[in-house]
Amino acid sequence: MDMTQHLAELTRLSSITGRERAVAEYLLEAWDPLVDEAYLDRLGSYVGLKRGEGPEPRPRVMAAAHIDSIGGVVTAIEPGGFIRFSPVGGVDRRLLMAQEMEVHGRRVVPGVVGTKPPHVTSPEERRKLVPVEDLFIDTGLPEDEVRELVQIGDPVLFRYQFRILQNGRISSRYLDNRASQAALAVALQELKGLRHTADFYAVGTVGEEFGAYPGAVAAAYAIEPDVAIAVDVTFARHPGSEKDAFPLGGGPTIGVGPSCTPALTKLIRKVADEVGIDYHLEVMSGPSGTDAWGMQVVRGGVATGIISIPLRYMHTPVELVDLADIRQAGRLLAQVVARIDHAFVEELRCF
Amino acid sequence: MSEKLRDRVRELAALWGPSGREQRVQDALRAMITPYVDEVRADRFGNLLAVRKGKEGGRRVLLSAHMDTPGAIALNVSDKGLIYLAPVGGLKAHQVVGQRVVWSSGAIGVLQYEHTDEPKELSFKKLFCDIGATSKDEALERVALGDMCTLAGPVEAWGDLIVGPGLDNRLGCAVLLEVAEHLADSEHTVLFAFTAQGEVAPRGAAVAAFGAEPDLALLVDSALSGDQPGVRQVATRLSGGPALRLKDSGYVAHHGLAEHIAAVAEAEQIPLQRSVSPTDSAGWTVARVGSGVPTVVIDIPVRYRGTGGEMASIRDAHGAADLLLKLLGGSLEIG
Repeated sequence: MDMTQHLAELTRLSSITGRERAVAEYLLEAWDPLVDEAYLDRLGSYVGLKRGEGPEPRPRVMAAAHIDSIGGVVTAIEPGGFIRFSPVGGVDRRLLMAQEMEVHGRRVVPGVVGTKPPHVTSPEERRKLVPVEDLFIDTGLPEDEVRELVQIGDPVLFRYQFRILQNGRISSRYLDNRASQAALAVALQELKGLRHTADFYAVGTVGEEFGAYPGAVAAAYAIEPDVAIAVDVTFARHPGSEKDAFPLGGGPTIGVGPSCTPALTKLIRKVADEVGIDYHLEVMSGPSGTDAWGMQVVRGGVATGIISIPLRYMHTPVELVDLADIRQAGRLLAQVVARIDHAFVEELRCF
Repeated sequence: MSEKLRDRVRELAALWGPSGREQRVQDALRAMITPYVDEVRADRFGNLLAVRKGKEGGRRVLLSAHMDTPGAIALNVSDKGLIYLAPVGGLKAHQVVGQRVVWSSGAIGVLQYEHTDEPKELSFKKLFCDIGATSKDEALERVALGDMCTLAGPVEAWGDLIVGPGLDNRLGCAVLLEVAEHLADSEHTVLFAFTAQGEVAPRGAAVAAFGAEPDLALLVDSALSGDQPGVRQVATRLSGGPALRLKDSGYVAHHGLAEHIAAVAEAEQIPLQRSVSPTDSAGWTVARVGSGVPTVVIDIPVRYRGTGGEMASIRDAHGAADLLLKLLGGSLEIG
């Protein structure tokens, strides 16, 4: 599978929280050669299973990479056909003015976020952030056609532009968290050449960006994994963002903190050292802001870990990643899965 | 069915039951729903669950409505016998000044603030309840610290409108009763849940959902109506029909289920509004229960929520009951 193509397709699909079906169905098709079986669960999360060797019961390892992304929903259609919208998830309000958008109605309708020209804006207004309630999308269509095509609740996305930059770097909307699906695909491919006793569940979870991790929590409840690893993105360094950020192209990060079970973190680090994967340790002092936080307390508790891919400009339409980091995150995940056996799971239970 | 529904809303809205103290409401609902269901039980949290059994191959459908109302709790009593309070649920101090309240003991009081205070500085810290007592001891005889009160007042019918305190969410409870009464043989097992503590957190609905093990959940709630002046980004209005809540401050509707509901409403010609709400519901707490529960919230629009003059249209409640009955009468295989 060509990773750039995979990312191009993943980021093209509509995926805002609650409307992840297109991505989930695409994974069913694209990952079919990589897994033994796959299905969409009750909330619409993708679950792909690659079975381990040996008799049942086998250890169960789940990797959760959320398939939803931030965006908006239509809240009202106003006279003139102007579309009001409300953000879903952690949208950066500063970016919305003059943004190019797509409204996913009966068809994809392109539009722009209209704003008042500076000539007629008071100095005071210019200093203030325009509230989302004051913004609107102008599609150019007359009101009756807008009403024909668009309903309240329809998804609003940043416009799709997939940019292949120099040096193996990609910029696009929604690399948070499609980059992690690409990493999971790498892991599944790698696992074909590795022997592993654990059953590996590659899960594309819904609802991570908004709500209380319903997709990851429900999937973990159903799968009952011994080990659950959230694969997500983290902050990559750039001017103005040096602290608590990681070098782009410097390999994945391994989480450490209350969301991460120490014995599992230790194993992930050990594996990385042994197979020669560069990584950085990412200290996550509180709730990690990943699916791990939700999965950790499912049923009687789940051993959780976090592997993250550094990404610049998070939650903007120009998120930027390095393909090498994705590859290394996938390799690391596969190697970890291959190391998880009955003895390790037993060790997790004895503390 | 409107007359009976109207009477039910008025009867239920008059019941005393703030968050965490729903027993009286639970008792009344138990008596009201028992004739229509196969079993009724309460859980340890204080939810009431009534089950109407379906047939083999049918689905397990949770119909859930929170039965508590917001209120206030007695924090301390001044030497003059005035009771100072803290809110339980989302009451706003400036919206309840001058309102009458009723305490668990039956004592009536009025909410006021000190004569010299500026209204704009109003908060629950400044608000007190005067029950007419002349001393601390006299007040404490009728209201103990930790006792709760709720907004009191008549619940009136103004034509199609119902006006009074407590409509949020006794409207939802009345809709569930209406469905229970008129539900013909359904292939689906219907789990009616009247949940506790919906105004705080909310908490009860997820507990009820865990116990009920549903295949899907339909929550009936009362929501901020968009035709109240100053409300922005909400496209609903009173008498426009029940509203399909597609997103709120913590939940996104299950898309397949929401589209199925919209299709049934269209086929049955039941007016249905679509809404994105800035407020909260139990939706996000139910969706993540167990292996996941496809969840949709259906709202009855309400103007002036959290006041003694909540206003709703009986036609919207009627539409919600009608819609639920039509849904339960058909297939609920959703994509």
